[in-house]
Amino acid sequence: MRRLIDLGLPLLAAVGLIAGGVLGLTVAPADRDMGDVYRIMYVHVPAAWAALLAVTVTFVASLVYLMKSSARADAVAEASAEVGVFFGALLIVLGSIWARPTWGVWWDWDPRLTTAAIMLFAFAGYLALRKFVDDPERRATWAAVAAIIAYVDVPILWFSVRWWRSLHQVQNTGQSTASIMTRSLLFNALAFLLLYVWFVRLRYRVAVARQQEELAEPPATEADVAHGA
Amino acid sequence: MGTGTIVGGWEYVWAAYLITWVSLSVYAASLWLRAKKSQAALPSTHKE
Repeated sequence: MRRLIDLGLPLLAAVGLIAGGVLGLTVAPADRDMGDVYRIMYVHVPAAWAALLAVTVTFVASLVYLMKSSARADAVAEASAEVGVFFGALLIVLGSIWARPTWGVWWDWDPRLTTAAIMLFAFAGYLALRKFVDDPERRATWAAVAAIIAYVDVPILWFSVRWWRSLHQVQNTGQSTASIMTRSLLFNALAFLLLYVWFVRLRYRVAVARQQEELAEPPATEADVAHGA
Repeated sequence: MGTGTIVGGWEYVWAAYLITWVSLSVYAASLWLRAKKSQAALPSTHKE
């Protein structure tokens, strides 16, 4: 079953990305205002959704760890945080590429962009914190607290375009968008979701392996052997 | 008929898609190799 999932997820994701690329690049019509440049949306928005999902999972897993001291929850939090930092970095790079032809600048201290950058750096900081603490329990506890604090930025990021109305556009609704555009976006979003799940599964294994290494007894030294004899 | 206020810009679109596909592939390969290495390093009783 595990092999089936491990093979199926990336295959389905690859098919989804190819199909989504075809839909987004060739089938969906040009936008009324942004012309063909808007097609970056079909990778930028799914990257954003994947990043937000990833940090939300880290937040929830961190709460679970603090309540139950579950090593699995800690491993999930770590895995999802790294994947979230990846998608967060991709989101910002793609957003910057989209910003250049539409706003004339690669970057602006717009509320949406600023809070996205804060999210990226906060969760990158979470990963750095994990590297610096050797004791597993202390590492898990401090990281869980750091994730919960970092997550405060996420609802601000989500609602920033409504609260402060600046450069970044407000999310479109199904009523304001052609159905083929919505379908193309959802197709790409599904591919990114499958990739997220696969990435977290792989990264979780790395986290669990390290936990088990830390729990394992150290190998006997020559002195141990001499005392035993 | 015009295509919108912004004309052209396909180089930005292709750059975005190329960066997306390459970075996803590289990260996927990195994760897969790290997961495989971590499983190989475990004692056989601990492997999934």
